Amino acid sequence: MANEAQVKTSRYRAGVQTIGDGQIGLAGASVTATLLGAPGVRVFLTDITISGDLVANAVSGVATITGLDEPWNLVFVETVSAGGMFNHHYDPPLRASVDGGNVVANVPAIVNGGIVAINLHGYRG
Amino acid sequence: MRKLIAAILLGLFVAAPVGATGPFQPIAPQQTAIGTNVIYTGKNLVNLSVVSSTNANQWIMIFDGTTLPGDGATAPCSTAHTTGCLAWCEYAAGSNATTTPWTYSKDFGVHPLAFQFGIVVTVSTTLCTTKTITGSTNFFYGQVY
Repeated sequence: MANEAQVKTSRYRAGVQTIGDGQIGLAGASVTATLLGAPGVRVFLTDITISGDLVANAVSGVATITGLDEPWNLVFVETVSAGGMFNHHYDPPLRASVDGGNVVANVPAIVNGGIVAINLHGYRG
Repeated sequence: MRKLIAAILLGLFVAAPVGATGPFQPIAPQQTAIGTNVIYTGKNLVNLSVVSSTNANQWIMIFDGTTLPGDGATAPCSTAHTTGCLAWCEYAAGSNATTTPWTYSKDFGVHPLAFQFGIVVTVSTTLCTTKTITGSTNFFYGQVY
């Protein structure tokens, strides 16, 4: 198993860039994080983390990821549970639909108050 | 009988696969620190744990740089990557205000976070957009390469 983990890690080592960032939304506000594309290169999404206010135990909402290649280019939906966090690893990574295009994750409204941060992790290829 | 025992023992040694024995070895050096922040020498973060003696709600901030940025507004990393930009920020609740210490743990093993300049980890009492450093009672444990 250790060898498998090393192989998997090394596959993404070359050219990997952390191009996501943390964004903050307060109660009812929209939260957006973007993997920025660049001319001539394509963005790949490897991970998304959405964390929220666990103490209040009140954060809920829907995250949508757009800008991805088929079949994810229209809508990808996850619910931020009452626990306030979810993580996804994409293996293989999800590819942006066009060269230079952005991948955008958005929580349009945070229900019941609380605080949310979105981290997108990916690389350009 | 002696030949039989010797043959069995020899067979065990020959058949044992290389690397199949012994404890699991971490794939990255382990670096620990106690204080307000830690600066790792590697460029890839595989695993991170932070323990704080306070149970307040806090934010884990990971910067791409070689020094700890000052308190105030943060600058997210982007295509125009500059040293000291904020690469990762995550909320960590204060253990529901009932237990101490507060602990945060994150496994980046599947897709390690890659940095251009260096890895700086700290804890803030304010949101990702603004850094407000906490006290000197945090314990950091990281696996980097």
